[in-house]
Amino acid sequence: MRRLLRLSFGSSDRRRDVERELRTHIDLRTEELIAAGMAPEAARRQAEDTFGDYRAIAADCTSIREHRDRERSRRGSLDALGRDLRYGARMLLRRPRLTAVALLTLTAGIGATTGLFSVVYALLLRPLPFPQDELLVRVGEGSVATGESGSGVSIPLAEQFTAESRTLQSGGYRLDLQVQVLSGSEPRNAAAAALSPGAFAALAVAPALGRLPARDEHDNGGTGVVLISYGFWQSHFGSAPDVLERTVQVNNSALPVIGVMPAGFIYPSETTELWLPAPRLPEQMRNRAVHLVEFVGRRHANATLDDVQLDLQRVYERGQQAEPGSDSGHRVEVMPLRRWMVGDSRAAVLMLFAAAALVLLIACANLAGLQLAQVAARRQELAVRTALGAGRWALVRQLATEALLLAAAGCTLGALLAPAVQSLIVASYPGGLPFTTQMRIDGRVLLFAIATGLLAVLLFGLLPAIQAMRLRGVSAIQTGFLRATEGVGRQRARRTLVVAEVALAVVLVMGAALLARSFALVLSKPAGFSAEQLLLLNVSLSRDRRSDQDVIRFYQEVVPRLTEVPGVIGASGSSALPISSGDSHGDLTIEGGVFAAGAAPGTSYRRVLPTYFRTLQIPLIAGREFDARDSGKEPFVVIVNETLARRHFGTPSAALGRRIKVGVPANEPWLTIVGVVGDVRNESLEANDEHATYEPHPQRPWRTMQMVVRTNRDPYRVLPAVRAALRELDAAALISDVSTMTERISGSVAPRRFSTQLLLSFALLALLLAALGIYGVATHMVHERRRELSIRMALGASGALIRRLVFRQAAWLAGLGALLGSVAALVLVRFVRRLLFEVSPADLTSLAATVALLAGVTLLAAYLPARHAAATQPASILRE
Amino acid sequence: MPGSDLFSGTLDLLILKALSLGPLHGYAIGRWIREATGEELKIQEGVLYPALHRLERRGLLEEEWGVTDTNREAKFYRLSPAGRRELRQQQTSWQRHVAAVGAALALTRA
Repeated sequence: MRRLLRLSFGSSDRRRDVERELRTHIDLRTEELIAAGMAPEAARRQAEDTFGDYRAIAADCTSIREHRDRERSRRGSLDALGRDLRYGARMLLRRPRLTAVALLTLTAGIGATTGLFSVVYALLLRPLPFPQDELLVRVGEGSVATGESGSGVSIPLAEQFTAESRTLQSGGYRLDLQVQVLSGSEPRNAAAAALSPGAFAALAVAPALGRLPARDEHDNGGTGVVLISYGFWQSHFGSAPDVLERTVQVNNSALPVIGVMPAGFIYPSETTELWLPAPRLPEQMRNRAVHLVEFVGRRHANATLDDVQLDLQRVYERGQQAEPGSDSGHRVEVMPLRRWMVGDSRAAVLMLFAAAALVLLIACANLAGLQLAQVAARRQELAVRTALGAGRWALVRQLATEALLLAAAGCTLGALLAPAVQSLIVASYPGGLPFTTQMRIDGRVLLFAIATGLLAVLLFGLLPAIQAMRLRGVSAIQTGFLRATEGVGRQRARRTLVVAEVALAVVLVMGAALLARSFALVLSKPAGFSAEQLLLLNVSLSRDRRSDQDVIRFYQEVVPRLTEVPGVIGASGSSALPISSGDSHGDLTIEGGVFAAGAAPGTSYRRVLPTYFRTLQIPLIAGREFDARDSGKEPFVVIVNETLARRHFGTPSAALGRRIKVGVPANEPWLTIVGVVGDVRNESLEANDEHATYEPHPQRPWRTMQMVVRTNRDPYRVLPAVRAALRELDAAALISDVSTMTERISGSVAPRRFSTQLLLSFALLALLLAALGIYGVATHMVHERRRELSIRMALGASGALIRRLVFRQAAWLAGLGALLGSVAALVLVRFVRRLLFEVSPADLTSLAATVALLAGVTLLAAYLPARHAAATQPASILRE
Repeated sequence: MPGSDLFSGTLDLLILKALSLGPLHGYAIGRWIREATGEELKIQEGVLYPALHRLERRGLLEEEWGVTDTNREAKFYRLSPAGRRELRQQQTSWQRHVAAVGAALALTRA
């Protein structure tokens, strides 16, 4: 400090010093000359002459001294810094347990939050691989009457959007396709996307090699061309430079490769490997009621999402006026493309990030409490340093240095831990997260780690530093009174910390309780069928089976053939098995019934093979199952679910014989209801499939069916025989996606399970930390008040009374924290409403469970200090 | 900077030598140099001071305000341990330098 002052005094001081010195020289010279007999003035003049250019020399000397002072002070500060750091490190090492705990806490906390941050950043903030990606929007349709949303749009509407929109600079539609490609000699499934010219324009990404499809390649539809992904180019063509002259075998055609998309290009998901110009589809599919495609557009920079929504809604209504009746009563939904691509994982990941941050906060509060306790214990050390002239500022600097050392170490180790945390999240998030190729630990993420470390340091280093400032007196000998009054401030600080910790922990526990309840409720929902010992596999017929007759025949033969396999109790198939999202939906038309515009209920539909319901053990409530009669000739038949039957026909038996249409009325034939079956959770355990219809396979023969085989032993043991049987019927059929129904159900709830488990872990950790905080405060309190407690005991207070005192103190703190936490929880939990299932955010059971858990933990935490207080001998305390 | 400017190097060496016999103030150092070199080196007296300050900045000298025998306040200089080492080094290299130049001058042949 003194050095700083000296430096700032600067030139004037130094200059004076130098001039004094030089003046002395001249004076001495003058004296000498006078002593030799010269006259005083002459002597002085002589002396000044022989001296030289006084001003120049003085200036020179002054600047030399200035440089020297600056060098010295710089070296001094560096020395002081080095001293502080070394001393700080030594002090930290002298309390290894505390330092280890702090370091571990910081590493884990910073590592976890940083790892989660990198995931959050990639999902929500990092720019997508499109120029100005924030301008991209996904447009869909929803029903005003039934509240359904998230549906795609029809091709005519998409073309209308492209042509008539004022707020979009470009836009087009996309059709997702599953195709077979020939990789070497093995066919495999691949995800492809067919895009209209407007969609290519909206994405505005130029291929790394080659070009985008030309106009005529779009219009023609016949001469197919294909763009491949960078990864596909690497794996399929070995990054061959002549790829633009090669072809890819897609389904039955050899498509020339016209371009390779850049590395990192993702649309619509990371699994998409091929992009094609959108083919011209048959007229039935170009119907307004068929919501076949996804629309993507690029809005003008000055158009907001609301502007786009209004604009496109107007376009939609104009279309309705031109062709009334179809696709009526819907509203246009516009959302940023990123939000649509990230989907549900957004809420879960954000929640986990918030949870990790909260746990870090609680941990820092604990550390702060520990440091505060340390201030008292280190008073001796600090007093000695003060006596040696360190001053209060030096003490604060000392504590700050230690905190910074811890933070630096914690940040470094945490940053090293972060990639592991990130990989863990990515690997264990079921179904995979989008944009995983974009997740990496880079500059921004590291910056976050440093910021977190600094914040942590501020939180747990600031309080003890403030307390150190308040240290009164330098004498190492303190009276008990002084000690007590100093302790009060620290006690208050520690108690506030504990209340805050408990509040935060309560928020987490409440959240975890709500999620746990949701999870339990999901699992408790009856699926509507029996899920045990079901083997599932996808069968795609080979290209040899060309005609519909071939396909129908295969699937007619397959059921009896599979039933012959030893271990198989029953076999069937469906175009979409239960617990598979991605069911087909269509509008429902009932003979003799009319719905208001837009209020037509949707229903899911699928093709099934005979004995489907028996195999899955779905109860048959009325009528019959499909059998050999239903060979695809008229009259067409259908089986509906119970809810549909009751809602529209009164009773299941009343539904038999009535007729319905599924899909666009103009395109679809009448279907006669021949059976009613029980409700099944076809989409997922969470969504109730209101209406479901089943048609026999021959009515709409699809080449790919999901087979289901019920076995009387472990399903996988039967798999080889089943495969062999299938190959007997079609040697080149593609068999894929083998699993069991139990696995599929487990997989469908896996994301929910993942979030719940992780949040539960965080919550328990938070509770443990809060308990440690309570324990610490209770111990501290017992220690500080031991004289008072001993007097009480000497005057006859029982051990139970003493224990109750301690418990009451702990309960008071925990209660206050619980109250604050509950209020905070009720407010914050609204943010995770999307993750809850049939549980309201203000669920009382969860609240009660949380409070009960907290009470138990508090009692446990206060138990040891209470017992210790009641067990101490009053005499020994009073004798101190 | 020793060696780069022959003159300033010489001056530094003389200053170090002057102080090797005990602390002196600036004027006394100048007088010592004059007397010890037999009045051969007549330097402008003021030039001494920047040299002294540079040596102090390099840590070869230590300075301190004191009182002369005529009761005048003056700044005294003293060799630091580093200065002592530097003096020894400089002395040795100076002697070697002189010997080398002398040997070259003594050559009667090219």
